[in-house]
Amino acid sequence: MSQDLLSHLPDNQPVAVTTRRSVSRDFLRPYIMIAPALIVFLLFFLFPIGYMIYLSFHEWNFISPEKTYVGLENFKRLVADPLFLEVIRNSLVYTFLSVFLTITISLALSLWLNKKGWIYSFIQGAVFSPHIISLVSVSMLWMWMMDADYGLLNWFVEKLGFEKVPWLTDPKFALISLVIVSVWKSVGYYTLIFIAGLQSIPKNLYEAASLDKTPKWRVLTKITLPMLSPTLFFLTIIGLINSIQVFETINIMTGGGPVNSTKTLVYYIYENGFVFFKLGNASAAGVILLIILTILTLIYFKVLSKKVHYQ
Amino acid sequence: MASITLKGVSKVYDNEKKVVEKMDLHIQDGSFTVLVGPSGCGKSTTLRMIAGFEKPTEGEIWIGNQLVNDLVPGKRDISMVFQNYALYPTMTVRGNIEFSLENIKIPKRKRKEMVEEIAEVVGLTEYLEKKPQHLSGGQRQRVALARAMVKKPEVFILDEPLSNLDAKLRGQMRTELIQLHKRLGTTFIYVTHDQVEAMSMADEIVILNKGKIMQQAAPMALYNNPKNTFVAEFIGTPAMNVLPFEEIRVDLNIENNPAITHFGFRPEHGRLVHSEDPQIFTLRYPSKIITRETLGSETIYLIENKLGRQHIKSTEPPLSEDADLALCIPVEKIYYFDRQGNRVEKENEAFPYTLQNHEKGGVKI
Repeated sequence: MSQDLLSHLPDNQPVAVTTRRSVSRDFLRPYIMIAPALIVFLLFFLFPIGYMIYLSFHEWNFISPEKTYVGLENFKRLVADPLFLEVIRNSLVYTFLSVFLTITISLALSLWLNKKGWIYSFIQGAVFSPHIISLVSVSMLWMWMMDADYGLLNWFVEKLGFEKVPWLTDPKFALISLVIVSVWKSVGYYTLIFIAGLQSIPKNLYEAASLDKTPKWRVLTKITLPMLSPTLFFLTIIGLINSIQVFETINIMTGGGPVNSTKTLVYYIYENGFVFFKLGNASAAGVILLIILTILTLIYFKVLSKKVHYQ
Repeated sequence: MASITLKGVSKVYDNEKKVVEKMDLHIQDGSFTVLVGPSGCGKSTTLRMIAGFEKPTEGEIWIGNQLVNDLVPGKRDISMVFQNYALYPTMTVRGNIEFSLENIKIPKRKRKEMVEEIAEVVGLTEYLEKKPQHLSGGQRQRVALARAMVKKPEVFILDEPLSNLDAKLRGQMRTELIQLHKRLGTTFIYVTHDQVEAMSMADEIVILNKGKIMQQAAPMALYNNPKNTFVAEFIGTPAMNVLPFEEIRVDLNIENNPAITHFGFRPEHGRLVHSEDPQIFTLRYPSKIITRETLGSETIYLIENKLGRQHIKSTEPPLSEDADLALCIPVEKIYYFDRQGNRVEKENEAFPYTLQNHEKGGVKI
């Protein structure tokens, strides 16, 4: 053991220092050094997760002193609850739509904006600006824009000669409307990361491709996209993880309605926990969210180490 | 196959720095031409203009009998080996070689045949399914060559292709490239900053400095007849010793001659003799050795005397560093240069008459 601990020392280090006392001190020192960070981590990360898992097997209303153990009852109830299934469906639809649209639009934008010239920098800045606005302001802004009667969007829609769209008040449109807001907010940031990725592709490859008489679409599919795959993959996973946790826009813009059509997992957890005080239910849903996120993260690292090309 | 002609080609960048200035260059069909010069001399820019990656600010570029100024790189019938190889990292070796063939829609069976034939030539057959990052530097180099060769281009462009290889491999690849050029008979344009590479591979060398051609000639012609001090000092290891003329003017009994300001001699032409040896050369200067590099077959000395410091190369057994020595310079081996650094040749009327006699032999008169 002491050998292992000291193996990082140079060979010519005097062996005399390996007395029992100094070994134990050497053993402890790194732990003392990281103790502050470790305590914060345990207290604010691991403990809440553990407590959530604990609560998911109990029934509790936040106030009463006793927590009743119910085993897997909370989970069983969730799985049987049609509302919860709709919540999961909403979350998945929202997540995949917003990630797919954000990635596609920002990829297209980055391919267009990856040029020199003030106009491109300007557009890049303009597209990026929503990213620095707080989600609450964004939500308020879009609530006004999407207002069925006085909103900017419907003004345009009417000008174009169509019927007004009930953006946030019709179950058919509400989730899509939230996706639009999410895409609008994140496209700039994604574009920026994509441009950084594009700029790290060696120019020589494109020169070689031009000597090889490569048609444009083949340059895109055979060189740009494969070389961009690390960025593409990174953004996809980050997007999935972020979107599945969507909360602020829903809380402000729709409150999960109309008719639960925009109720997603995190909003469901919030509602159960802090509105209905069904802590057991909320925790069980939280555990399910945790499992989904864990799977996504695992996929991220697994695929990262294999499929994606890294230079 | 095609020749390449540059007519008054200049390249000026945004910051108004002239990288290439009014260059006239003719590269013969089927030749192995090496563009060589110090970094920043414009050799890579010239190459990139020929390939079509840069547009010349003025002038014309001809490949064969076609003006290519406005032709995209893909239509110039050129293959290029890049300094960092620029292999497509996401494709296998086969994919890399095959890529250009796929682009021009050559049928699969024919492609396979061509790739395998080329792989055989460059010795890559067993690596065809590997990705470039799993190959060594030398193997990547071969992939880059194979990728360039498979297209059977009119012109081969090689941009410092050996600079990322270790010394031994570089020597080996040099011979392979020479053989390859012999077999293909295609025009090769090769850029390097290494004069040894230039001397050993080229049919013709173009020496560039500050965007201008200093001299274009066959390797030995450059070596024996440098047109200016830049070429004289660039070619040869160590470089030619170029020194002020005044000192030897007196020793050679020449009247003041404003046309000549410098003289030079090659390190291997200077001779180190013991000071007690009989005096057989006109120019003889007591010298001391400052450093000595023994390379086995030859020894390179840095010596100092009243002319200044010079390099001397000798194939004789190494002399001891504290020996009492003198440097002898055979007069017929001396080159003369004017104030601008241009060579003053024997035929030039500024060439001193007295020296013409010396040209007949270095023996003391």
